[in-house]
Amino acid sequence: MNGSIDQDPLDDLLANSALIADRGFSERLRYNLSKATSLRFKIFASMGGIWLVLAVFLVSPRTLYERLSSITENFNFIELGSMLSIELNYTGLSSMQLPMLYIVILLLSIPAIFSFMLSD
Amino acid sequence: MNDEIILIERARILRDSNAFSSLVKIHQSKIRGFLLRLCKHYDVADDLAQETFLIAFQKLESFDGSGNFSSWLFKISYNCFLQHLRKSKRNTEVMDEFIREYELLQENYDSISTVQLDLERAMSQLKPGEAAAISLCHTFGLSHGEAAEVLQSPIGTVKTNIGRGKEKLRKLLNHNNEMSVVS
Repeated sequence: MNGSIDQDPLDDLLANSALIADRGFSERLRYNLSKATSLRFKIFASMGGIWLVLAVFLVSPRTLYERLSSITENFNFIELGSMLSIELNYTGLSSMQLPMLYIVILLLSIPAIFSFMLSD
Repeated sequence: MNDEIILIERARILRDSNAFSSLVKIHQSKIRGFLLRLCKHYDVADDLAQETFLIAFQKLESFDGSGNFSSWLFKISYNCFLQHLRKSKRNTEVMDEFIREYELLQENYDSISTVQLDLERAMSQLKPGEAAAISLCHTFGLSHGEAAEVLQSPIGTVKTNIGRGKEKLRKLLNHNNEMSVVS
């Protein structure tokens, strides 16, 4: 009527389809995610542990220190900056507090960065 | 939308599973609904949706943010479905099971009217390609181009599948005589 385009009832019905209930789906996924994350962490940590043991046995402490220093020098501070800005943006938008672990890491990283800068 | 971008960035850069869980809560209903229409079995659809989100979390680095996040999730879920289809040869069995599970179906939705339930039953009669194209374009609001990208097929095929599928739906719904979908 009045020149309006006829609406197809099937289109309306399809656009207003029923929504699937959560029924514990999100919780199950959260559990699966934490399982996958902890497995990845274990693999990462054990690789790091193996690397450290090998380094201790095969390389002198001085060389090890020098290598660690060069790794730190090449660390991407821009990436760290973007990570922090995302963290702070999110905290600003939501009422969530920064997790304690992040605060500890942030506090520890400040003197660590300065100590490496001063050692040069 | 802005909040969603921040959640994606948090999950991508910080590997924050809490941020990703919030994204799951936003998108789970769409992805599970889409998969249910494709594989016609609630438990299989749920397992595939779990797989979809786990893959999405792992591959979040590859999401460049230029496109729609739901389209990206739909694409992963469709690939999971295709992989499942290749693995299992019991597609027709699954369809029979779905029809038997008619009574169970109502419980799987937040709330569903008789007409909506009839639609879901009619959708179960369509071929996966038809159900996928109709769901993406008419239920989840993707453009034909976006749907073609998700389904990795030409736009022409998507349009044909939509036309054919809608025709079948009209016939099925009219046959049921429970709604007045008359073109």
